[in-house]
Amino acid sequence: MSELWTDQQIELWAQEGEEDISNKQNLVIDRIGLATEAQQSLFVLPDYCLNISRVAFRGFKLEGKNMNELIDSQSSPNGNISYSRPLFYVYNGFGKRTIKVLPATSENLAAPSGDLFNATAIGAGMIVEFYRTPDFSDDLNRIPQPMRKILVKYYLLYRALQQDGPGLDLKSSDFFKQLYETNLFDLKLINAATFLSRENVMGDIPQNLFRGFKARPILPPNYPVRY
Amino acid sequence: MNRANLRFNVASNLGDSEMVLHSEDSINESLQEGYELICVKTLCLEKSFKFPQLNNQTYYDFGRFHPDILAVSGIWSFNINRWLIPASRKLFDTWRWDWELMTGEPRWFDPINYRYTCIIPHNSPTSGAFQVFYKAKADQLTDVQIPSIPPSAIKAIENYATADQFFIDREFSKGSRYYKQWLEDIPIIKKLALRKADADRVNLSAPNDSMPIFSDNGDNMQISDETVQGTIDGVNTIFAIAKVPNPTSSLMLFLNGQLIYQGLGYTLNDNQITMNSDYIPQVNTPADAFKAWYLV
Repeated sequence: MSELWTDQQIELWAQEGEEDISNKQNLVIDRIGLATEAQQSLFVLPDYCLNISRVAFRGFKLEGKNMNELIDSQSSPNGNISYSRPLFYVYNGFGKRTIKVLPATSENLAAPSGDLFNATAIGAGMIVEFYRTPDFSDDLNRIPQPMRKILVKYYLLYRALQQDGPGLDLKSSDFFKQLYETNLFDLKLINAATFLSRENVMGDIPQNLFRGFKARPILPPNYPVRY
Repeated sequence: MNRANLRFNVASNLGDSEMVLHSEDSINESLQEGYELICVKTLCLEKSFKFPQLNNQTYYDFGRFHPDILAVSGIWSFNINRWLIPASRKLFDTWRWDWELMTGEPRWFDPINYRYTCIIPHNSPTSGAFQVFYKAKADQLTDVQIPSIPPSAIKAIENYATADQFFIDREFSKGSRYYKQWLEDIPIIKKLALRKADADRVNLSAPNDSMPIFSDNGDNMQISDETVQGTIDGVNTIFAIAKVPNPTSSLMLFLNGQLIYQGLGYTLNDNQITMNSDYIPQVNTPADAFKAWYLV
């Protein structure tokens, strides 16, 4: 292998593969604590943030809104109309990875630190939970094994065999791409059946069936549903 | 059928019984991969461990201490002698906006990803423990080991490994035949695994292999709530536990109920613990409680 492709190139493709998986499937959860100042409404999230899953201020969840809802509400996009505990956040329209909280914060608070999954930190300030790109320096914040190993292998073969040069083999590359996509689809099903919170929208009957509890992943009968 | 037998079968399927063109390591790797994928796709391995309740903890990072977790499937609370109710964060949102801060005896849980499980309400101060049941990843096979899946389904591992080896050789049409067979094996294994779940409430006239051999409580023994040995005088940094943790990541050290992370608060060398300067147990009244939980 190393005669056709350098170790550095292979390493790069392997990382690219892992990033591709996390771009297509929400898997790795992380949190960040943000410092707030009175009357501050715009907050910039780190580059490795892919999708926001929860924003909370002193433990109170903020409801996510999009730009259209802000336009419908006729709220001023620039001025901070009022200051109090934030109730909403707008996740688009204010720049790359920038969220706007409404109303603006009314307190100067240091960024929560320590274990951000502990109630002590959660109650101390503003915390954003999000799905992130893999952190290659920390095995805990990467695509979980064994799917990582298998998917990255197929991705790497697909990329390596489509590179122009003596190793070029487009037919094989297409085959491995197909294997990669099939297994990625399986991973999506497994993730959806296991971890995604759901809410019943079918009315009263299903909720009565669940004795008032909303639908949740049940293991293992619905796992995964493809077969 | 153990791994050595499976490897021989795979080599025969490849027309390379002497393993001239395919190395032993390469076939072993394919067999391991097939075994791991079966466990992921069928959730046929079940294990459990005991985990202490943590002060003020809303989300438990079980994955950090037990890296073989695929999904948490049930939690028993020793404090109330009840199962926690599986629910979802969306449901909690409908109760109150600040449910993450709810205090009281834990009642509900929601696994939010492969690593974190949300358990509410949280207690502080707290004592007691959970028994956490989970679907596990495959263990590392050895030559003499029989994979922990139903015996009649072990052929699936062979099919996957053969297909994988053919794919590596770029013999796609030959490999696809075995791959297709492997895909057909998956629902059969799922059914066999489910039959085990049914076995305690219905009579089954199925063959013996409908009762797969599962590891029930994991291969490792749990040491719970052990008092860490060493002088607590505000100066001493060297402490010891009775046994060597295996894996080392399973060690959880609690100083007055607060979890101290390995690497950040201390380093572990066999069974010896060296505390970092910020985390040295102090002389207090009542005396600091310094406890360890780990697998051996």
